[in-house]
Amino acid sequence: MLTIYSVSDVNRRIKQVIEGDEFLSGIWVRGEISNFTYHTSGHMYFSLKDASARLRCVMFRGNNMRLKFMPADGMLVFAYGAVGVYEKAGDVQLYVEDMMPAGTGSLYLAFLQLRDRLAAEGLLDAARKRPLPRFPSVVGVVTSPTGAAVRDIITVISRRAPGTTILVVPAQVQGDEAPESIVKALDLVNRASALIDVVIVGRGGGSIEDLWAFNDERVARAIAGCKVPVISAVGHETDFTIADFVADRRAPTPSAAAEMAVPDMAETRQAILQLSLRLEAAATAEVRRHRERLERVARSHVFRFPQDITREHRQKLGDAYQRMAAAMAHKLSEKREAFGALAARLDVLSPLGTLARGYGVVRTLPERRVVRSVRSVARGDGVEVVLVDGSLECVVSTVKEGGPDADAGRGRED
Amino acid sequence: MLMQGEDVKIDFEKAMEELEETVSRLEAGELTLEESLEAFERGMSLVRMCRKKLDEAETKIAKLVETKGGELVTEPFRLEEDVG
Repeated sequence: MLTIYSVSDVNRRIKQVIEGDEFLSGIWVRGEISNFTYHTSGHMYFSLKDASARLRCVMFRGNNMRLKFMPADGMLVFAYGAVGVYEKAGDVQLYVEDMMPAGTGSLYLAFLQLRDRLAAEGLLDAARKRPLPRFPSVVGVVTSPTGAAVRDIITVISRRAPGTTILVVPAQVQGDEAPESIVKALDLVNRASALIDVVIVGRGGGSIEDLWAFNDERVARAIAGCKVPVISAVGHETDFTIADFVADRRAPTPSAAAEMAVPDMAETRQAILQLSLRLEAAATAEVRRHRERLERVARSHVFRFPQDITREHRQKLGDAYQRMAAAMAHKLSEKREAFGALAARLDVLSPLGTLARGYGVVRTLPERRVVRSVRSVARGDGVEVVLVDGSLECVVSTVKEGGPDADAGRGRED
Repeated sequence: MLMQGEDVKIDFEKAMEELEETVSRLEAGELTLEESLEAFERGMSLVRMCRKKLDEAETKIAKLVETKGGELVTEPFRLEEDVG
């Protein structure tokens, strides 16, 4: 069965195949630049060609900003990148990430071979790159103690971050002895690594031969093995060395390395100011947040009508009081009645009441014992007769026995 | 000399980190009022500490060398003006 594919399908397939190829995903290509266009977008478009073929290339702005030279038609270069496909046009092209002039023949070949070897070992991997400390206190500087580089670095660091300690680790940076000397200096840095936050390794500009120590494999491995993050700073912007690839960061010049190494104090002050402002704002917000929370609670019913909490209790208390008062009153009147009855009975029993009705009490004299029987007195005895309003002292003239009735009957007989 | 560098390093870097952490914690708005006030006071003292460090800052330059006995020492370093 015949299948018809769209152009898009085909281009997508080409893209998949090519971009899935590991070999094409990161290669160095040597060639001569032609049809160079520096687009207003900042991207560079050109071709690399040799005697018999050409390869389309694009170098995006983000990458070409780091170039240390301006490419031009006819220039022989080494370009590094991945081969990919521009799907819309079906163009196969090299997406260039890095590029350098290939001016000096065999030295560059050696350079590339070493670079590839180190890359194969993974020493150039992006994952190996360590971040630089934000506020280094001690910056190590592996360089010549008498060059322009050390002076530039000291000047820049003193200006930007006056609190920094600069530890110069002297090394010979040029000549046959240089690689060994740099390796030795990096060893000192490793031994003092607890004290050093970041190290700058480099030198000022010079001829390619002057800089060659930084393309030495021993130096490259010493940088890769450094316990402290390394900033490479070799020569001028256009110089690229193996040390630059191995280092955690590459600076185009020693001054730039110093700028990378330490923060600008003015910026640090600004950062502290910002933090203190944020701190105050956040603290204010926190206090407000808690106050609002408090007010929310305070606005709740029980706090607005606190009497509600006690109303019921007060009600109960009132009821209890009334019941108590009523009970008391009842009890009181009961008692009062009982008292009245008692008082009345008392009244009845009182001798005073009897006396008031005309009775008298007879008592012996001088003993004042109540006389209950005529037999307890004799004729001639003194007696007292107590009446309601006083008493009479009398002498008994006659004693008669018998009750009052007998007496009365006999009296009538007399 | 070496030890002095160590002290300074720990103080400023740590103080800045703690300050940033404190601000973030406070900004998250999940602290109790007491914790907030504590964080604020701590933050302000860190701000003062960092500023003081910056104000006191003075560049020190030394040379790290190895003695014949294989010991690491620092020596005063002076720029030589006659080279370039």
